[in-house]
Amino acid sequence: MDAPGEKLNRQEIWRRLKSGDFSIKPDAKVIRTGIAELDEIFSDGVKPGRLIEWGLPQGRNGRILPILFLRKEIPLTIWIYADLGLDIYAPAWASHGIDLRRIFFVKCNDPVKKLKPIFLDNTFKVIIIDSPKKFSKGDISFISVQARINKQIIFLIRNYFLSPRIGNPFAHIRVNCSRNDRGIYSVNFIKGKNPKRLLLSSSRFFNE
Amino acid sequence: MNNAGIAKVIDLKTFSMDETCPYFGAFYCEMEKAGKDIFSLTPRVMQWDENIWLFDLSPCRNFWAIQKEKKGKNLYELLEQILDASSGKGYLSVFGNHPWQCLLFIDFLLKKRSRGVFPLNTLLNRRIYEGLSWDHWFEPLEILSDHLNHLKVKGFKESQFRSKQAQLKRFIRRMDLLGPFDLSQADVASIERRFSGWLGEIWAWTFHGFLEDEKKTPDLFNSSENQIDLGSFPWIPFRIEDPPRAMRHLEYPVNRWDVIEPLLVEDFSKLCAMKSWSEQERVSSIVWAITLYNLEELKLELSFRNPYSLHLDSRNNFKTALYQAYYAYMGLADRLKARDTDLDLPEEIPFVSWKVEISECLYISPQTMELINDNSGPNYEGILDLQNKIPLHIESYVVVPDFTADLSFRSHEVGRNDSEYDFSLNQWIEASFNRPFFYYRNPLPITSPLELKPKFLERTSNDWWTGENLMDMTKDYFLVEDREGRFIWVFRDGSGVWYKHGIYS
Repeated sequence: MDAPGEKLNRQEIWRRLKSGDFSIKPDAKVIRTGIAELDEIFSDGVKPGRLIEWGLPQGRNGRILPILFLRKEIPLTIWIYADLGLDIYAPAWASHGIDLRRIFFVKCNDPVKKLKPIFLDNTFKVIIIDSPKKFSKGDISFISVQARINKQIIFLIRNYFLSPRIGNPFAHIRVNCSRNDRGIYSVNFIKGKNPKRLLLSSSRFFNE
Repeated sequence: MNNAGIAKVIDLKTFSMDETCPYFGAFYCEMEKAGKDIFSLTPRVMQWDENIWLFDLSPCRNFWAIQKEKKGKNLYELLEQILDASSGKGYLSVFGNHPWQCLLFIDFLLKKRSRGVFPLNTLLNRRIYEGLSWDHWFEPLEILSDHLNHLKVKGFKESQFRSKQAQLKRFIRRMDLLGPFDLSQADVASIERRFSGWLGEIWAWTFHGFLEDEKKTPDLFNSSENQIDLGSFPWIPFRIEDPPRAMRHLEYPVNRWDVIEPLLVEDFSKLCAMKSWSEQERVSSIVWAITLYNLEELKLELSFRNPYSLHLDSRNNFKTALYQAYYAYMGLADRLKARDTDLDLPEEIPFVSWKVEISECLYISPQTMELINDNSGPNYEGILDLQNKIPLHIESYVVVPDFTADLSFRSHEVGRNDSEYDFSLNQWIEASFNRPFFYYRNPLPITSPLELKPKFLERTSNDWWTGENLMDMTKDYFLVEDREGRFIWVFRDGSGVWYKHGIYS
């Protein structure tokens, strides 16, 4: 059963696939964290049309990393988070430089089924899908194609560490991040241009 | 003469404590026959008596809040202009957070022969409301009783209602009480016990949002839900006689969305072609009444969080309305599948006919249209449009100055965020630097985590002067790493009880 509008978009996808109109312009805006080591390692990887997959288990404070990408000249952004019993604590986001006027949130466990219009539309330039409870391989394929059509950046956050043994051909970068008890953040690239490991002190993000 | 540089004198009539849109209004106007103008502020209207109307603004709160910001006006100034354009002069309108409060205040103002717009959240009007006499409280009870009788509300007996009123009047005389607020300290349960459940509930309506303890614990998320529980208040919707509707008798039973979709597009086009309504009108609800193959009739509501123009949506092949219809259809299919597993029917019971009817519509006359600026930035219009297309609420937040961690922000209507950045909030924002991005709205009690060597973060204090227990004054926040290696945000209250308040995600 097709959702309204899907047929048209499939046609549009095929038209673009045939015409090869999928290229991202070289001047497409790359978003950066403002932390030199991180920006160097991400290179120009976080730019419109890209899908970045993050392995960020709850409680390891790893979400600071995708949030860092949103604090400078934040484009209109939507953060879709699963219902894990938690709600957004907005002042903490603002304190890390997020402009609350330009970021919106939706609580949803099954984003592609329930929020399809968001992916079919280019209103939001950055879409973060945080720990979806239902997310199939077909869904990943759909969002990666839509990201290219609409020139959006999509962050797919998993509530577990990503394994190099199970790949994701649609993601341009796959990265795990967590904080240890000594306050050191470990950023571990599984897939990307410069796959390597980076250690950062939490004092770079927090008053510790 | 250029007025730009002239300082504006504070108008006590509209000097508000806050600028949030009210939930309800009472409107007095002498008119021979109610027309569409009565729906100028909201599609939800009730006729209280011959000349008094009640407005439920909840479907349009976001709409008016956005219009106010676009025009850079005081909200009530804008509402007054809309009412002037739709009803002319000579009306009286009161806005508040419960229809009963609006009715009490409008009764008082009518006796004073006042005219114009009176918000109940201004300091002046709050003081006047708190000083209302018993006469103003008892007077609307007559009509309330008529409405409850008309609705045949279960458990309501007019004779008993009157006798309990008489009992309350005797009590007031004996105690020499001047007005309802002299009894504001009485709790609802004791009023219910002594003077019946009905008078107890009406009693609670009178003070809703006015008492100190209610002010202390605002519902952060109320504004996003845009609803207030009316309890047993007898709301009788006023409808225009002939709303735009399209009937469809299917030539053969259908149950597939790809067959239903083009037929719905035809029906929506039919609705738009009707002369009984115009392009300016904004739809907030459409009823899709379906007759199933077994002749069972079911009503599905396609509701739109932001009133929108179906006529304009026709240029987009009715995508927004179709999304809402699709979600309603999917919900119905799931319900029917779960219910009718034992019937010898196709997997989903097919439809044989349906009716599509515009059930709630905000009327925007050409005069009102001039007051509403529709040329907003494309981004926020896009978000409002998306909000109408999805079944879930899009959340937006603002930081507010408050020492208590969980009261230092609130939900905010989408589309209102285009204002200037408020630099005065910087110190409050800085205070949240070591707090987590996700938190538990209701903190969870936990056993003492002292053995896990919690790291002290900060001490917060609440408005101690509003509470009774001074032990609740402070909270000490800590960062704890639990046995699974997760970082948790916990606090210890004044009495030494520990709570988990968030997770460093």
